[in-house]
Amino acid sequence: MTTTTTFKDVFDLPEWKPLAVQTVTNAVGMCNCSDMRNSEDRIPIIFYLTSAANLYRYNYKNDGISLAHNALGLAGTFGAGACSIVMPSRGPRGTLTAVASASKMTLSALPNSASIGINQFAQRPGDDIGYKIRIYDKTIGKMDEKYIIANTSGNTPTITLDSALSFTPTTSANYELLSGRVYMLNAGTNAAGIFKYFDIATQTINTTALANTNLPATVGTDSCFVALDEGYIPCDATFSTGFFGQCTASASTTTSITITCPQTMLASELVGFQVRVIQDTGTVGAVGQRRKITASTAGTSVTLTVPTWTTQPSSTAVVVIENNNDLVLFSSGSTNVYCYDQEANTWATATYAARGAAVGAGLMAFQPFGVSKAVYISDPDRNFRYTTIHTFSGGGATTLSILNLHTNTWENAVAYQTSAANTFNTGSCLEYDAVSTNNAGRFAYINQNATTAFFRYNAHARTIEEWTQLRYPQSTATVGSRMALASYIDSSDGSKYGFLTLCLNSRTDMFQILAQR
Amino acid sequence: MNDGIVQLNTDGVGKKVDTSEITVGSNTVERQRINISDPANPDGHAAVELPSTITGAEYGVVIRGFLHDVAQVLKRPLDIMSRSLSLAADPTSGRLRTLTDINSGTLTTVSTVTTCTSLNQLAGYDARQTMLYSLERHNWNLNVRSRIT
Repeated sequence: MTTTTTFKDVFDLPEWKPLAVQTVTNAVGMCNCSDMRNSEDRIPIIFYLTSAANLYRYNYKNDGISLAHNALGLAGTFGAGACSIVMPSRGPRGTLTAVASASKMTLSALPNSASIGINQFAQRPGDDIGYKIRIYDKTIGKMDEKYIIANTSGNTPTITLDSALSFTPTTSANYELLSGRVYMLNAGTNAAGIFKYFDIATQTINTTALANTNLPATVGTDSCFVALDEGYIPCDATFSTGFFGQCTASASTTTSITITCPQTMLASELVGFQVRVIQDTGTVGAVGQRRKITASTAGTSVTLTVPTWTTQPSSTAVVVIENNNDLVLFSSGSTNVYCYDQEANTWATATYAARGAAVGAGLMAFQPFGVSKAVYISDPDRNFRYTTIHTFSGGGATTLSILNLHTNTWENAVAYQTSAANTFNTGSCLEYDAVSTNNAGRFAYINQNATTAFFRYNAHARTIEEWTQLRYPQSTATVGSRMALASYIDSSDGSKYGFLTLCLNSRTDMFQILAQR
Repeated sequence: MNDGIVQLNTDGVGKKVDTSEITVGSNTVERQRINISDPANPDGHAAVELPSTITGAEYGVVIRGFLHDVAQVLKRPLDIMSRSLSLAADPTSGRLRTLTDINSGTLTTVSTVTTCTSLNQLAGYDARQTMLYSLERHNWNLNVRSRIT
């Protein structure tokens, strides 16, 4: 059944709605995050980091709250600078150890010595949908994604899929559970264990230490993650088709691949993305490879320059252009762009150029990946780019700066339509509505300094406009990201609506508003 | 302390003066006992006694300064109370305005509550949830949900 809305401007004003009451009073450093994928593949949970030990989850389909984990054991001192983020495409990965059929197979050991219960992978928190699993076989050259509908228990479960894969995998095939991780950074003195992840599917904390070298010596002031996750695509794009659909290769070298794009590309337009091989029956071992694009040519036949392939794809390979899976961090009053490479488990500050001015309290940042392809393509000059991170510096200023990933340069103190009074400091936080098709994924919503005032920032037009005020004043303004995105997805008609969710500063109340216009 | 007398001149059998005989230094001396009396009233003698009750009929020593001070001390709080009460009085009706802090008990009837700064509970339940937020949810359903089919 399709979803239809009949909102009339001016007649029908947006309304805040109260939600369940949090079990802990919001305080400095506490932060929300959620899965912003634009399909039912997203986990319908808002995660809420409240201390070095506790991660709560708010189930936005059921309006309920519980502890997801109460022994995180984060090193450091919880406070200003703590932050969290969901990387939805990152989950347990490994190989198949047995294959009964194209819809039933056994997984290699799950991470963190996790031992799951019967059918745990067949029911995510919040709904009756199982986790999506991606399987690719380097002996067949194919890849497919299905939902898990049943599993046995233990560390090496046998899973049953909702339908048969398009191929029958061999026991050497790879699997990737697209169930997501919650990455968490604590505040205080940098030490081993200050940065950890919570694996959503197995509900475990990493047992192998994550890197902490190259993080700030002391994490404080304020922090903000940006997830350049490969599952984050335009609001009108289909999962696993990336930003521009599936593209067929026409040629390749050891450090390049030439693909046919559905639209004319500008030179360097695809730099900052990754190219992922989703099928290659010509060179079967090439399937599943990901490479960050370092150069791209103009036109519809685009040559992508990449780091050397492990297996050079054939001229018949099929690829998608996606976000590059970098986890970007702004933090601790620094100009640095801290970048975490999930594959290498390393932090670096040289991946991206440093911004022009240090960040302060009230720092906010996001990548406008959800802007619809229709809007993007309508401007052949690409005045708007997906490969950008828009960030307000905080510290009591109005400053907006934009990191261009395709040139690795900053536009510092960008001119944008706002008022001199619209400054951002302690208590300011932002959530990007990446899914609303009615708004073409253009808006990020901002709570100013934990007051009742809200704005929404149009990433396409670089303007700020007023948004519906909250009738209830918040309490003491503290540092921490208190907004998150809940989404309604109608898979029958493709309509998607974003709900901005807010934890009131220094209170237990939670409110939500539909981005209805 | 021994009793003693000072012998007056004898006139017939003679009169005696009532004294207290005490030692002062190396001498034993007689200290004369006296009454405090009204200069005109032959019956006005100050009493030194141990009555069970004060009747008000007793004669006593007049200590004007002390009594004046006591009167002033007693009058001061009365003046303060008097001023406060007159300020709190409605000039038209003469009714006193008061701030009442009801810590416990029951209010049977309240006609008008102009401002209620805080109302934490209603029927024993969180007033914010049961009143304000339920109303907000109702508004949302009315104004937003009703536009979605």
